[in-house]
Amino acid sequence: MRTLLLSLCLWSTISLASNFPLVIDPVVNETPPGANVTAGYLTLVNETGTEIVITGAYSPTITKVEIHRSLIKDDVAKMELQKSVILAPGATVKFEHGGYHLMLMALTEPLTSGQSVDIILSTSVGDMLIEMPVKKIGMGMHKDQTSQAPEPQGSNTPTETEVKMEESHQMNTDSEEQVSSK
Amino acid sequence: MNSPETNKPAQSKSWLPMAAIACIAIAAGVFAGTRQSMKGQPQVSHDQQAIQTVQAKLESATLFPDDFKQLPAFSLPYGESKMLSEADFKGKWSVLFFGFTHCPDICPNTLNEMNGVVSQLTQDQLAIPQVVFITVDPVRDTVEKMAKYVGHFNEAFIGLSGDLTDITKLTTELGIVASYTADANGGDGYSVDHTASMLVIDPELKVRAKLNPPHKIETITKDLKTIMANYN
Repeated sequence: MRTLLLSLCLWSTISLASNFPLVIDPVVNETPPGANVTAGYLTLVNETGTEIVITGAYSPTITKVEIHRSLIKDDVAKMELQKSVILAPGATVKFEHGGYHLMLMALTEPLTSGQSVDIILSTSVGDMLIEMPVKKIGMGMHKDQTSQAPEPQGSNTPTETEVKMEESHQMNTDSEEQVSSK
Repeated sequence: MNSPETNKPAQSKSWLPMAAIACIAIAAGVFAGTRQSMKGQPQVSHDQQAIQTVQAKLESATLFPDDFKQLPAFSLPYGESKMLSEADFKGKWSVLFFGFTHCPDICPNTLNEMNGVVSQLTQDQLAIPQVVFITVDPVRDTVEKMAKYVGHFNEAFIGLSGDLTDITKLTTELGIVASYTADANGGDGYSVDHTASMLVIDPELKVRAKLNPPHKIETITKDLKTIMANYN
């Protein structure tokens, strides 16, 4: 009986957890002195069969968080506020340098590497809390956005962050191979 | 009775100037024609040929013609009460680019990439260009703030600020765009759209090339090496 209950419980958590997109490599750029804004990057993978819409972001510790998109059009760098970001079933959407990013605004104190920032993404399937480590600029980037310095300890492999909102350990055991094969 | 006789010489005299006009017209036409045919043929000057040869070796940067533009006269503050003017560009290569500290994505990453370029050039024991970051938002980016911000990426980098009028004069003269957009949500903030490419200034203050986005350490390093090696 107990086993049945436990497995039922587990089954329900897993099914709940899988409603959320998988989060890979979340990182917030350290703030250079004088800056009161910075960017956050991550990759979202929608492993579910239904569309997920990201409708906004907020944080318990940051005054204002917005989803922005950098774009360079006719040699002019612009930033556009995004009201929503759509993750189609099976889609991978990267928040990366030169594209979508989380803009952390009106920072009251500097963010330094080693810290972490809690960011909540509002989505069509509920809010999801993401713990985003703060790193030196260029450190959290993928290989093509090169940084000369070696990656900090332990971050050579993609870090798949805990989505704290639900018991989502099942999700976090997914390897990158599985993700990219989608 | 006299009239036909008197008329004759008068008539012959009158077509003389006409003939002269016709001659001039034909000559002008022939001249214009030759000019036209000269234009039609690919007439490449020595300078142009040299530019084309170097351009072919560049991955992303684009070269300007030799007589395109000189860095205009200016004087703007940086660091601890120091002034930078066009004279400080003499005898060295420089990379000039524009941005602002309220820019979370493109500007800090570009500065980081330029630091990568400098360390790459240092490793290869090559000349290091003077790197100058000019704010297009001097109202919020004070000289002091710029010094700290830019120094975070590389202590040798120069962060210029100053009066908005002086900055606008320099950016306009260099053909740099800066456009200000107020916060859509009615906040107290504003954003600045600005030219994304960087300018390469040669040791004689000529605006020599544009480093086009997206900026990648390898591409910029390679292109700078090519440009500096070909125009020394």
